[in-house]
Amino acid sequence: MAARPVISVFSESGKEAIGTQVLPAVFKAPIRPDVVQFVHKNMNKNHRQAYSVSEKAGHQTSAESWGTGRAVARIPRVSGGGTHRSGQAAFGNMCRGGRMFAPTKIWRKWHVKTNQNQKRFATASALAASALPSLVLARGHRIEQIEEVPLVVGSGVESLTKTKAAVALLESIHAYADVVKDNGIVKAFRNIPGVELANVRTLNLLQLAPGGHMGRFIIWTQGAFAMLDQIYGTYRKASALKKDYSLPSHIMSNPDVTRIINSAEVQGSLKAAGPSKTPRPYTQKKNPLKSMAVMNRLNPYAQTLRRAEILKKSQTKSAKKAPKTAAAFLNTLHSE
Amino acid sequence: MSADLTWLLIKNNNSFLVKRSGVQFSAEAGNLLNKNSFKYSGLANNKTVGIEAAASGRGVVVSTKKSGVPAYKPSKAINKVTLTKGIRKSARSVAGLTRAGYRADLRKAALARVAAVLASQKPVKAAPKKAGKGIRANKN
Repeated sequence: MAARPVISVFSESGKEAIGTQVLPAVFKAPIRPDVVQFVHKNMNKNHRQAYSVSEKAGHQTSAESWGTGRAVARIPRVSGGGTHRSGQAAFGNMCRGGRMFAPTKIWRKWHVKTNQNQKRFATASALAASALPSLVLARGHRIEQIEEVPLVVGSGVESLTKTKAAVALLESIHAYADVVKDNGIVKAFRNIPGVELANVRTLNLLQLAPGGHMGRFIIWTQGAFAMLDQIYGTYRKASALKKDYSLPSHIMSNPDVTRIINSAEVQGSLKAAGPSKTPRPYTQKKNPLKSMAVMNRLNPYAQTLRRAEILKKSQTKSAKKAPKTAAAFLNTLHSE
Repeated sequence: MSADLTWLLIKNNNSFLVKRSGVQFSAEAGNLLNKNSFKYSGLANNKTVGIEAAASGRGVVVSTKKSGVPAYKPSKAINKVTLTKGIRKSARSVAGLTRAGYRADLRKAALARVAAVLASQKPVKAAPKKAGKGIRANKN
């Protein structure tokens, strides 16, 4: 795994760092939105209340079908007369005042068991996401002004008993911007909107990743932060407090695609880049009937043929130029 | 944390994403086109260029991510400079900032955003009132 940075611990009064803490290994756990969403979905089902429609709904009438022969549908109809209800269709899910289709029952399966290891995976994943500023920002937290993520304050905050002091602390570590973003009103202690307190031993995914979206802004006390390595273990050592638990392993150790592409190993095994313009592997096709040179290359005898043709033509021409009668004619012309 | 993995985690859903009437925009700081893509994402990328209007109403604030500061220190990681010396000098300084080695691919978008922000800060000229033409306009 990547080297774990040292995180500052801030004092209860505000700015100055009062100590340091090595980043617990759980913050290097794989961030898996699929696992977090799946576990969140299932865990979120576990506080549902049972509901259903009344067992009797739609069946509190003595309707009977009229049978065939009366030119109406064979749906049960309310018996009797003297009221509008009589003769109206009843019972069916398509009827006014009828029961619903497949009436809901209270013995629906409301709760879902989630495997413990999956729950722990999701919690570790959500914790790891909470240590990445970009993911915490993407969840909508105003953490631009805070010093560090994860934000750790001295364990002295555990003795705060007044909301005023709690707000002052949040302000001094520049985390209050994240609270007032909702324009909420501070009502009472532990009732600052958007702030929840949780024990580090029992972190709940529903709080760490509300709605299944990872990256909740977390402020840690030093004691809690220091305990994380015991609770979740490190990549070298199994958890001390959870039985037989070690952190989930990564599918790939380096997810930086640019770095992988530019690495010496990949670049070394690539073909060297060619010139930007490559010549075509063939020349332009030429018509041998039009291009003499191409024809001669294909058929060396073509040249001989063509020459013979030209010779023959010039011979017949010169023969025509001197007709036999010319001499006799000239003699006559030149005779005195 | 690699930028590529961060992008995979936030691209489908984040608090800055605006999906409305068939288009997607992303409203985070450091997104020059407000477009939900890896190239322009202000959250995922290790190096970003943000151009915003200055709060005073004059000039632009250019924010970049410092490379020497570790990513887990949000308040120290952003460098902000306010440029108030007009479009030519602002554009020159932004073009110099987006050089080889720091998001040269964003230069065009950054310059366009500088120009757009500065243009929006110019006082709006009142359109001259057109003199009416014809007999009816000049009646009464």
